[in-house]
Amino acid sequence: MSDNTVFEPKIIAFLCKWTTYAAADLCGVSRMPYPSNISIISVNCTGEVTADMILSSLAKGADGILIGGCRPGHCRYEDGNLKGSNRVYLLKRVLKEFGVNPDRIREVGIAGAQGLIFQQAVEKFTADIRAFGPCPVMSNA
Amino acid sequence: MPNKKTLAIYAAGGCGGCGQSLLLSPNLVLLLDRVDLLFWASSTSDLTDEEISAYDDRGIDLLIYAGTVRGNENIATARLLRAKAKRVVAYGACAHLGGLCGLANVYSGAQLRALPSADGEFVQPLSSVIDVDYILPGCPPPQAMVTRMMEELFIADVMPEQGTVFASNKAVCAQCDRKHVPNPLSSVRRFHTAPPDPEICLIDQGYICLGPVTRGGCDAVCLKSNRPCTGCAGPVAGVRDQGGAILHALASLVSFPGTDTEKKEHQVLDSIPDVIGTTYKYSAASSILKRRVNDGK
Repeated sequence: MSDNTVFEPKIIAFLCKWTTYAAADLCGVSRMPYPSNISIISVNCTGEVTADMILSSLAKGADGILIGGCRPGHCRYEDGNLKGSNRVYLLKRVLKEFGVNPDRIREVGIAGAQGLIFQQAVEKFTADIRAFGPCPVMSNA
Repeated sequence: MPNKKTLAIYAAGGCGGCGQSLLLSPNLVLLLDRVDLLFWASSTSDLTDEEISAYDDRGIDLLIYAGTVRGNENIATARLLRAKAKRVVAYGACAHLGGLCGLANVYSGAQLRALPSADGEFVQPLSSVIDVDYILPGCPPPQAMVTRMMEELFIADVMPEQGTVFASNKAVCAQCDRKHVPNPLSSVRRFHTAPPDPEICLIDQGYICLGPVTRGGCDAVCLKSNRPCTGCAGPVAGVRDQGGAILHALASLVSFPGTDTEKKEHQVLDSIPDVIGTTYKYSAASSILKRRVNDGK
């Protein structure tokens, strides 16, 4: 059975509730379909997403992490998105050292009115993760 | 003294520093007077699995296990010792977290086999192989913690609660006397370039110190010697991933308002040398990622 089943990636999306989450919401009310592979977690700001949250998601079986916040300079909390982005930047270095493909984490900055861009971003990311295959981190647990 | 407790000390892979820290303890004579020492490998004797098997099951009141668990031989011995002991103390950073040896986990098997005397098997903390009752962190455990352990285990009438860590629940910073001078991280400084000011917080000066994410109780001895905390006591209570937590903190300290923000900030973050060796120095084997994987790229 396992040979024939298509790999369906599990993606955890941490979305800033002021922008990218609103874009996801807009996608929904506009009836624009996007892959059901993503599970959205609404956060107040991408600066709130800790290394622990990202690493734990991978260890518990996520194949990709999408972090959606504001575009630079548009953060509701001044520089929360920039701090969040710095953390992801450093975390990618750690992932690389542990042999994990750092591209499994993707950051996007999407405004609340850009439902279409959100749809496209999720489709693109899901396709990319599908190409990478299952994340091997969970096998360590 | 009637009904002396039986004590056994075992050392697996490691440097022998843990045994030294027990030998250096001023309370050692007091301790030896109160216990019946069955064996102390490898300081006084060497020990085979057959010799361990000869002890009664649960016949050892207290077993101190120091050193790293790596490969099937260590795992089998650890399980055998667990069956013979009523209570087990994971002694030192190697047993507690995997320790310095845990850094081997970030190499692939092939890379490791290219190194002398490496078998390609990964390092694990003792607690992922057997149930551990008490933890004494540190590399080697600082005397303040060794004294506390001896008092609680051998002098107090009641045994401490299972799961006790003989250290503080607060971070190292709680015992550090340095002044906090809020300062964004504009460049990462290293010890061989310039000695730090002994009065001011090292992170405020641009040095990487793991004090904020590391379990305290060591009297901040390294900081008092003008050296940074390297995180030997493992993550502070409430933190799961020590390296992730300090990277999180460092990334938010970098701040360049104005133009070209991202480029300048990334330059500073790039200048952090050996990111795993600095931030996961002792905890790589017990981190969330645990060891290297092959993600096919």
